[in-house]
Amino acid sequence: MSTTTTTEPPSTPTQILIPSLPNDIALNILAGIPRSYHPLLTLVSKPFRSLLSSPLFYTTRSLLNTSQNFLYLCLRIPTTSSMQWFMLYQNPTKNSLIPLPPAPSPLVGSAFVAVGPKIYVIGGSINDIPSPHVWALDCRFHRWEAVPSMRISREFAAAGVVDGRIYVIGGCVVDTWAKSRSGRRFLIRKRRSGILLIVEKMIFYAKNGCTEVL
Amino acid sequence: MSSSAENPTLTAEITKPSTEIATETAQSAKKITLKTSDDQIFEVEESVAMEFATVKSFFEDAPSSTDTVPLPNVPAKPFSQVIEFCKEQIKFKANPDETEKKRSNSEFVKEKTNEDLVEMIPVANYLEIKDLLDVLNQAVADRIQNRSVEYVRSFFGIDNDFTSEEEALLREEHAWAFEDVDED
Repeated sequence: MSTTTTTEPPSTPTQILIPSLPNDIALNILAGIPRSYHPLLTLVSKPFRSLLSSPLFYTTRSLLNTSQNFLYLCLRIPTTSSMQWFMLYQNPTKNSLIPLPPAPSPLVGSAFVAVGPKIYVIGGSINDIPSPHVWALDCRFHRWEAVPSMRISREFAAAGVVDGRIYVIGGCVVDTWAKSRSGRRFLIRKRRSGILLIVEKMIFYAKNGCTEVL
Repeated sequence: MSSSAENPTLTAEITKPSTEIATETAQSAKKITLKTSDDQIFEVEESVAMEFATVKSFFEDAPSSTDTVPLPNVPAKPFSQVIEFCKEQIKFKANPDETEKKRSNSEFVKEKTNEDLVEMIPVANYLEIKDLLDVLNQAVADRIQNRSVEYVRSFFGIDNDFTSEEEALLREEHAWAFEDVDED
């Protein structure tokens, strides 16, 4: 599922995590602890905190097969224009919805896809004006990052992931450049690595941690 | 299977488990002499010593060596517990039974103190006993799960390097995570 976690070269953290143990062993122990206890671990010490916010920690979890899948919710609260993001923690005793930082722009009608540890929020509109912007929520650190924009604005587009590539189709509105061409203008080309679908001259591509518009 | 140690300074607790079964193998089995960092001498049956990858490679380089093998990073106390674990493990080599092995492993860690576990980890690491290292890592992870921050700090002997303001801020940020923590 994930390719993005392997891009950073693993290197053992420089600060001592646990005084009596080598850092690589301490890392293996901490990586085995379920994610719902991570906030508590970040409070143990500064070296713990910087480890838990490093890609190395999540790479180790993947290697040890201790990474977990979580459900993320994006809710539109009627009284506000913005979307609220939550993560669902399931503990043996209870479930809790953990509020996350809001997306940098209050988009409505975006398309969503998950690739590796990131959720991509594609297009949508702000005050009824469609947007070409794409944002990614890095679910490891719960941080938003900007991704290169699409060439045209879209709202209520369809998006999917094939072989680590994100494909966005449709969602172009009435009076845009693309409308007159929508529905027909795509072609399929076979390439060594698979099939490239070119829709309205726009391909979205995400592999090995980098995201680019082709 | 025996690790009966000759050194008289060893405690009775360490030597006791081995004396019970020492008679059945004492005549035939080859013994390997190992010296810990605190100068304790352990005589360990060859099959047990070969569980220590570090010792095994020593003998691959010098098969006929009868020298005492120095273990500069290994103190006697955790080492005797590591030997205890490896003796159990060889039984399962001859007669694999995953359920029984799991039960035996969890029995082994259950009766160890937190200090025992943390002391055994560097020994298992130095001797390259992967099975034991996995068992210990998991045991430690299980013991600190759902415990308070203070418990985790004292478990590993970590000093709190946050200022009280920084700590209060972080606690507030993750308030939901501290609701159901077990009593220390």
